[in-house]
Amino acid sequence: MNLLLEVFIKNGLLMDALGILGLGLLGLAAIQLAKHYQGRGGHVMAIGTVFLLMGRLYVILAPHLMTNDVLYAIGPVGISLTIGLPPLLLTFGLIGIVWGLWGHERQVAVKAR
Amino acid sequence: MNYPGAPLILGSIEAARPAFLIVMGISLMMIAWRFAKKTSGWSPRLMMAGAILLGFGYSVLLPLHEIGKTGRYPSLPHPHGGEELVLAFFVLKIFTMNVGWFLLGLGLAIHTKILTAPPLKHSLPPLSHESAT
Repeated sequence: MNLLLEVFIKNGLLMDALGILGLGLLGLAAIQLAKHYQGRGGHVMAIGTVFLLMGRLYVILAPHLMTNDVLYAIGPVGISLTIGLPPLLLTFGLIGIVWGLWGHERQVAVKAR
Repeated sequence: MNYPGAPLILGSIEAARPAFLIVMGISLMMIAWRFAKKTSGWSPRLMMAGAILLGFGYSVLLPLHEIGKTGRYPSLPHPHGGEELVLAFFVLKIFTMNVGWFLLGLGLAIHTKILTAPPLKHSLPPLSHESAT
């Protein structure tokens, strides 16, 4: 197999780390925006970024963490949560980021007018 | 139940999530464009690069992935055959989504100046040239 493809597939760490790093930077920037502009957009964006980061981290870590022992220990409710929560986290994280960016953009536009 | 390759009725429950992803991807791209028009330097360029990648990923790749048109890399084969197609979609998806988020986050971080050190106040005179960022 091509070496570049192997980097992408076998060691997915590089791409996953880029994504997580970007989300972390986005969260820090959102907190800075919330502190600086005192608007709702920054807060919503920070919350959305945290949700998306949690969902993404779970998706990355789940094949390594969720062994049979862990699944047995958390019981049926926990297993239902592991099935139901990550899509909700990803969905509401995306909503939060888009809504927060929109709110911040509106705030900047109103202030500049 | 939604088996891979089944046709989707627009507005059904199974079609809600792809439609949501398409709307979110396009609006993210448009908002980033409106945001980037007002700023200058490297941050809007990085942000727009990330937003275009994310818009492509969220409005084209992820809906295709959700409705099972692309296969899933290790487990599910492509409905029309082709091991390479599944692999290509997988690589394209992880590259687009991760690099897109990285570029968007980096652009916004540069825009809010959380990556630059605060200026030295007492020891040095202020720099005369304009900062590149």
